[in-house]
Amino acid sequence: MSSASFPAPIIASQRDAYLILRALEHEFALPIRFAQSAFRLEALTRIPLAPRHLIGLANLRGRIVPVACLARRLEPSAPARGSGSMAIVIDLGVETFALAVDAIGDVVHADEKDVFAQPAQLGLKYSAILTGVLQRDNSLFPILDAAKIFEFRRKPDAA
Amino acid sequence: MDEILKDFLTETGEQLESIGAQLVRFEQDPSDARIIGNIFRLVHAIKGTCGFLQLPRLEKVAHAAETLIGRLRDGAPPSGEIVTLVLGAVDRIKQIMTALSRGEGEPEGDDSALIASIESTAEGHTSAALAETVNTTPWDSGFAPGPTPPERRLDTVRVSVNTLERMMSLVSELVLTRNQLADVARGIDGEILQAPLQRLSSVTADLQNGVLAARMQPIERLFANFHRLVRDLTTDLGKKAELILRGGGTELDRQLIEVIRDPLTHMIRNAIDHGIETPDERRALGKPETGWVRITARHLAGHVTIEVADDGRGLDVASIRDRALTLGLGTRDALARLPESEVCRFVFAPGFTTARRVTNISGRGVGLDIVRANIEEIGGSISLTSRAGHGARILLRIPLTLAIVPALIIDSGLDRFALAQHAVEEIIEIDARDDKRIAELQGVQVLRLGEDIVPAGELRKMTQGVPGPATERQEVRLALRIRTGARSFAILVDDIADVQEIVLKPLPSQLDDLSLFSGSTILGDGSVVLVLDPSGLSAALGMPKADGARVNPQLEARSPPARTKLVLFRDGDGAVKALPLAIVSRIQNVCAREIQMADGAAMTRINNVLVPLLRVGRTRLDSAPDRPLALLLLQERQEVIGLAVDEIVDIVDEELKLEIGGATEGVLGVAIIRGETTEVLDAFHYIDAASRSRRARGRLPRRKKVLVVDGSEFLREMMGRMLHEAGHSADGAATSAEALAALALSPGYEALLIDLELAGRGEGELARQIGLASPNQKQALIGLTDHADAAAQARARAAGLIGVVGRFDRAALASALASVGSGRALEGVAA
Repeated sequence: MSSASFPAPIIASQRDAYLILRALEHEFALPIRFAQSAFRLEALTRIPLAPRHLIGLANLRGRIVPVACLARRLEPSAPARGSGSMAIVIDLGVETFALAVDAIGDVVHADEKDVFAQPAQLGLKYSAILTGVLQRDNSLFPILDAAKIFEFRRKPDAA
Repeated sequence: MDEILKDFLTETGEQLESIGAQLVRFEQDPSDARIIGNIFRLVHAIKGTCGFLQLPRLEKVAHAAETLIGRLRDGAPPSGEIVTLVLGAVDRIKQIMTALSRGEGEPEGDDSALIASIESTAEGHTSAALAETVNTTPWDSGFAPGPTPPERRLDTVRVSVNTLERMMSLVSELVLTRNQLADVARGIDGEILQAPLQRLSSVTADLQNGVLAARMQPIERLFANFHRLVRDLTTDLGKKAELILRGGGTELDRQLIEVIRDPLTHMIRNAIDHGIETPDERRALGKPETGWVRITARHLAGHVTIEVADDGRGLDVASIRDRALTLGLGTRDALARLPESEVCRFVFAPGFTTARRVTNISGRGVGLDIVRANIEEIGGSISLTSRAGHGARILLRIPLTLAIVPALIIDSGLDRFALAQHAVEEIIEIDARDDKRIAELQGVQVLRLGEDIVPAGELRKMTQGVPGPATERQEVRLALRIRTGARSFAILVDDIADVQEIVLKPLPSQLDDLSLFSGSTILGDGSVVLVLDPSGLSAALGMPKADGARVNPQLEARSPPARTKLVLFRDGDGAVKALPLAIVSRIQNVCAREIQMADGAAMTRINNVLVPLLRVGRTRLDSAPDRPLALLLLQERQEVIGLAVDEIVDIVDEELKLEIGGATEGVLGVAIIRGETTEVLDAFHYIDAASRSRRARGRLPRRKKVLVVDGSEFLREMMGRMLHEAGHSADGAATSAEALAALALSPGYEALLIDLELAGRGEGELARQIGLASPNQKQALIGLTDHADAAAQARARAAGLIGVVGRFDRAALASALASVGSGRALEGVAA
């Protein structure tokens, strides 16, 4: 399983660095403090009865991590990303999971003033999993809420 | 020692150690507020805990010191006098703690001089004279006559369980990588790779053992609370009983210690409430007024056994019969005919209690059935024996660790799952397309097994799996009969792909809701599989959760013990014969070609272990290679043998009445089973025959008494297991001193296996001492080492050892032991 650490940001502090990710032709920014490493997905073990966006369990150097698919998190009907896709290992402190994405982009740095913190006001389609919007030159990147991507509403009857 | 006290000492000891360096800095710069804060917090914490633990002396010193340091913290100028007093107080605290950690309790001593100086200084009355007493005579305040006892060095580090788990995963990964590497190396011809690979293997194995051993804790932790429990119970009940605890040093996985806490508590309650009589009754019976409850823990062949025994009245068989009748567990006649030992087993039935009155101690109906369920859940077993008037004995047998469990790897469509082997009671081959035993009853799928009916679910449907590619395999399906507590059910699966030891890892908390799975694991090939949870499966089949409080006693009553489960099979002559199922550990189907003939004996490989086979009647082993045969695997102690028969006919639950005693060897007698005259075989005859023939061919060596001298308890245990498996009896000693003591106490050891790394000071010296310790007996000394090369061999021989074998090199060990007493020199062991 290939793995790469992200270069430490040079200018800004970690808190203000973002990793640009792509899924379903959308670009998102992920605060880099959550991202541990990236790897290419190999074999995935299906998790029966789990929510659709949890596409399986992967063996990450002896550690079993659940893998969420960003595309499926956005659109449940999207085809699941499987082996060969890139995934980011996200460390939430208590839990670690991997997020399968369509592509990984650059690391960008931003000041606090570049972040618009009320995505809900914009009525965005995916605002439930966003914490804000990053303004960068001429582009806007919705900022992902790492914890909410993985979370799912528990079905009253799992069976 | 009290558990809380122990924790307190460990924790505070670490802090005191770490504060040592800060104290030096404090001496240099007594105005550093941060250091003062640290010392203050520590002393404050000690003071608080002391009150709780009833350590008045320590509390007083800590209190005085706290006041003084408090003043420093509030900004009082740190004079040399104050610094001296603070250091003196911390030293005194350390002294007292050292004594406590030796288990001596709070030492006697007078701290009034020290406390008075501290107090007067704290109040601002500088008293050079008093400070002087501290300065010049810091130690001799009545506590330590003579020289200062050496401070016990902290040789432990606390590590979080997560860290251990992580190490465990990394080790598993290492094993995997090693296997992959070994695969690659096989393709490359060259010795260059072999040696380092071998080394990697042994280091990996050692590492795995080491990490496992780190999870172990002595059962003492649990024992500590039991004295209090017994004291309270006896006081409440007006009884007198002494608690005897043995084998507190026995180690098992810390997770298991928590699991058995409640069952053990429960059994002690039972023993005192139901077992031990009142002092008056005991006097009348001629027993000593004070009874005893004895808990003995020990390691035995890879398991831990815990025995809870008492010298009370034993089980009241008559009340148990009555109660069993009330619960409908059998007819009056059947119950009356049951032997006492069978009747006693009813106490494990759900909802069973014979307590005449419901006390607040026990007898609330949640009883031994729950205990049994809890123990079985972790792959253990429980048994009970009782003698009227003499007491009862409950024996728990539990695995050493939950971290590694043997598991079946199950194919279900495209998915693959793991299921702990101990949960599976029976594996039944079924024909998925048309099997009369699978039926639908009010929308519920059920499986008929003899006269038993159990709910059955298709695993593929339960997990919403998709069928795999259509192969012939799909047509042959298996039903796995699973038992959780008193409930039994079956799941239908495609196939069993493998049996592997798995390291169970918890699921991420987001998947907690998936009750079907209890965790996940990484298999030998690196793939991840989910581990099925038996109680989750049972819930998915619509059975009530096993909370134990309300279960249907009928479930337990299905097979009244008067009946015996029998396996009916056909031998080579076509006659139907029977064998009690209880003695059959497994039934396995093989093809004739899987049977190998070696040295005139038939054997086959099952889970990589060679199992000798015996024929029943004229069952032919050497016929057409594709002809199926059934093997009944019998296990007696560590020996497994297989009885080869033509086919399994059925498993029946019958009242076994032997009509005619057996005249033929190997036949117990003849019984009428389902209206037919059937020979019932004597399994022990075959087991004996197998070991006789093995012995005759020298395969099974004469049983020898062996002492294993090895510093690591874990390795001792492993060696012991290996020796047991080879038919020997083994004891362990951790040091050469312990070994010498064992030799002196118990003669008869024929061989000593000595860890050469432990012998340290030289094999020769140890050999000489052992010779001295038991001059009348000549033990063979065999060295254990990681590197049994020629040099080690020569060195060992020169020192008087008969040879050296590699640790865990079964073959070398077996041949070394075989040569003991035979006069043969130990040759070829070095290879």
